[in-house]
Amino acid sequence: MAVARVLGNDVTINFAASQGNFEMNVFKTVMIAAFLESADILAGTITGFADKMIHGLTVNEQRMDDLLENSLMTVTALSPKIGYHEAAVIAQTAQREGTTLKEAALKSGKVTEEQYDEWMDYMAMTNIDRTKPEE
Amino acid sequence: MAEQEYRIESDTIGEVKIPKEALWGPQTERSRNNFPSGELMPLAIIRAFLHLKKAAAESNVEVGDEPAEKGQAIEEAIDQLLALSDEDLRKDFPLHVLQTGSGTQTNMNVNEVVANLANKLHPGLNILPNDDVNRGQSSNDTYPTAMNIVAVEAVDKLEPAIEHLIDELKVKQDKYWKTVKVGRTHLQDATPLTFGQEVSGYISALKHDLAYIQELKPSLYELAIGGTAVGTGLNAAPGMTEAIAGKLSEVYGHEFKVDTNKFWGLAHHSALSVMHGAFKTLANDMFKIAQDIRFLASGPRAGYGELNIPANEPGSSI
Repeated sequence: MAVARVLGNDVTINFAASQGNFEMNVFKTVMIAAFLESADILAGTITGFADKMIHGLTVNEQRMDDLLENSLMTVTALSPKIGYHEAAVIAQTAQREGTTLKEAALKSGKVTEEQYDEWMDYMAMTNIDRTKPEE
Repeated sequence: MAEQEYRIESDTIGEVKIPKEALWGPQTERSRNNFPSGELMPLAIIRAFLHLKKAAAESNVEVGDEPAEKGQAIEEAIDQLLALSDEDLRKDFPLHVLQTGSGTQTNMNVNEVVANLANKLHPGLNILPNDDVNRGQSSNDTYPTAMNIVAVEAVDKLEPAIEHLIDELKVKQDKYWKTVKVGRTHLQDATPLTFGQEVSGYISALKHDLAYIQELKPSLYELAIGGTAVGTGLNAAPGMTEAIAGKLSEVYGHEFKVDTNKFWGLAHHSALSVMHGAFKTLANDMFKIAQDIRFLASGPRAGYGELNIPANEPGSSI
């Protein structure tokens, strides 16, 4: 809702800013009132979001793991090893037959269980070691 | 009985009935009756006006354009007004945002209140709203000057709020730097990333937004004061404007400047519209971030369920 107000104020301000004739703009008062409201509600809601939402936020690691285990898109990691087409067939098979990715991969005969477990390293897929946190 | 509650004053148009105890004068009273709707003029603007009028009175005395005793009486009145609580200050400034688009009536509201209070404090000086409090000024240059001052103040308050959110997000980024989860593009499952990486994108967006705001801020330091009616500076004493800029810079702790094009200052408000563009950009990014958190925290049993958010208020149905 705060964003809706800011975007509305932006329309007001842009229209007001265009309303100069000759030596003066005569939409000044509505322009600055809208500007102040935007700054005020942004500062207020951002502070509330930081203190009341982000500060107490935690993750549900179990749920994240479950979704990852069930994901078919991790098949992308197999693509450089067995080719895009074969990897896509494995994902489609798993989706069609309602199996896990691993079951479909082994059934395809394109990967061994050992290879699958080695290549299906979720953390390695994130390139975390090549990513820098914001400071 | 009703007769005792009003006084009669005149302006160039004619007689006006004004509430007996009001510090404002006829121009304010006319506007109050002609434009009764919408929100009231923000008090931040009134306070900026008071600082501006005080700086103008001091500067006019310094450049020899106003007798010192009048200038001091104006300053004394303004100091009293600035010391008022918001609630008390509002009693003297009853006008609305929707008035003349130049803010003329708010400028006159300030001139009238300051002149009346100065005359109460120093009877006999005959301080006039237009000739003394508004000396060397016009609504056309004072109002845009007040606009930029309050805009800078507003940005001063917004910047630390953004910095604070960045700091809170950094805590989560670092804590969950190696917590792997499913990525999503087009709302479809995609390859994995960590929650920390996801949050680092939010932080970077906010850092960029803050940088845009900081880069644009100096444009707001360019004040229109000194332009008077059309930008030529007619009736402003030489040196007065530069003195005002120096005093306002001291009051607000920012380097306000007046060696800027006054025709632009009166007729364009580019600095405000471009800064609000940065606000809009910030709002867009905040909406994206808040929506992500909202969806990722959906559930507890039928949603994404990846995040747990604090319980701040109960609902109404269950």
